[in-house]
Amino acid sequence: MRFKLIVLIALLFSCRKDKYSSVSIFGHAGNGMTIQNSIYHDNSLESIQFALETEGVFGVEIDVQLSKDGDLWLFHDGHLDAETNSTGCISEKLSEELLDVHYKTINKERLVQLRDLPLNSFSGKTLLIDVKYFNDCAGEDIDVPVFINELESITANFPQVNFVILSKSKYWVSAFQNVGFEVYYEMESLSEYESLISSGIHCEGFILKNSSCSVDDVAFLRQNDKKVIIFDMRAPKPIRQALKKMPDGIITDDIGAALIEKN
Amino acid sequence: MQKMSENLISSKILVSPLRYSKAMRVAMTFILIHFGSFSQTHSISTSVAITRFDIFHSVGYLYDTNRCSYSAGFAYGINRTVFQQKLFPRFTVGFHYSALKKNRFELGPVISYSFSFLKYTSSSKSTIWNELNTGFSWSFGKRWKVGQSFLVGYVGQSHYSTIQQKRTIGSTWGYYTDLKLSYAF
Repeated sequence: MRFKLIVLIALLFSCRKDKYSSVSIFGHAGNGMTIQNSIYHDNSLESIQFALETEGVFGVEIDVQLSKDGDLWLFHDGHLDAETNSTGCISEKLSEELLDVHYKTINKERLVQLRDLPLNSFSGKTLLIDVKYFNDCAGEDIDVPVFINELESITANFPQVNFVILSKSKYWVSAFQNVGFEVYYEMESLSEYESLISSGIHCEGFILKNSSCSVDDVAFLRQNDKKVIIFDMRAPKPIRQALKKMPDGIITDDIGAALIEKN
Repeated sequence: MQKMSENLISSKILVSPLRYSKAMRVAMTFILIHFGSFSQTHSISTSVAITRFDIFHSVGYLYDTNRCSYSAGFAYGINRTVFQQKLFPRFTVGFHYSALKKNRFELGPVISYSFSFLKYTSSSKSTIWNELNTGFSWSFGKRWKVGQSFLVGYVGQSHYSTIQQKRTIGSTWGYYTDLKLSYAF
């Protein structure tokens, strides 16, 4: 009797472990954005390395912007002023100027180029590249062919890394799809889906905010052979809620909390 | 040459004892402050602290002399341990000096060292944090005391890299602030 009880308890625990095994964990902007327990600044080389080196992490989301001379730099905000020792926008700076820019943190992490990431050591990992399509300083869209050319020249050398494009712009989604990138569109809510399909956008997946999608929304998209990644969660409770929706992945600011919840 | 060796001898004989005597005076002053008091007490304490990595609840032991207080404690991260059922332990030792002591009120500098670790998954290696903080704390009371501490300092994080197959170490600044209740027996 006692033996049966032990076996039953062991089975229950093993079921709990496997429940979310299909959900991949992604770090938001490396090891999380503006989160106290991360010791590195978001989108820094240190933060990305830290996240990808953590056991159980499938990949990271990074924010990529085009510099004036056509290089791809990792940075989240529209302006450099608040977070770095520089001013203005990435799109108005030459790479030569950006080499000296660092974050206003104790570690003074430098801004990093996508090209300078040690991509050869990220074999088997996924990089979700959130492409910034707008120049905040000039108030105009970025030149998409220049962006694509530079990204292609980098990604072509690293077939062992899975690059996925994330975008809110339908035009950019189409442009990246046309050259063969795997692209996920960021939807405000599922109500956008029908209009997207009717406008001829058939991307491989969708990015949805945790607070604006339900279990049924995720199930619907997955039934239609679309990948679903949920973002915007940092505390254990919303992470748990997101996992219960059974998406393909979650982008979290607290990798540790997500790994604990998943396992 | 002879002059040089004379200088060396004089520096050894005359200067060093002066330096030692200064150091001795500091040490003696410390010892006198510490052991010169007759009121040595033992206390137990409980506190809730906010740190960079979690909110911790701790239980501890304090050894108080007139102005000095030594502490050792065990804490657990509330978010990780209670809400996520993953034990997040933290061990702390500290020293407090009551520079200002008036009736039941005490205020002074404090220094503490903490060690904590957390395993995210059952198969992964623990992430380890070493913290050295300094700041000030105050307390009010006689047998029962309430108090607060405000500390800032260094955090060293040791993390196992699955890519490099070794531990990597990073550092940043940390903070610690707590609300404490203690009882002297």
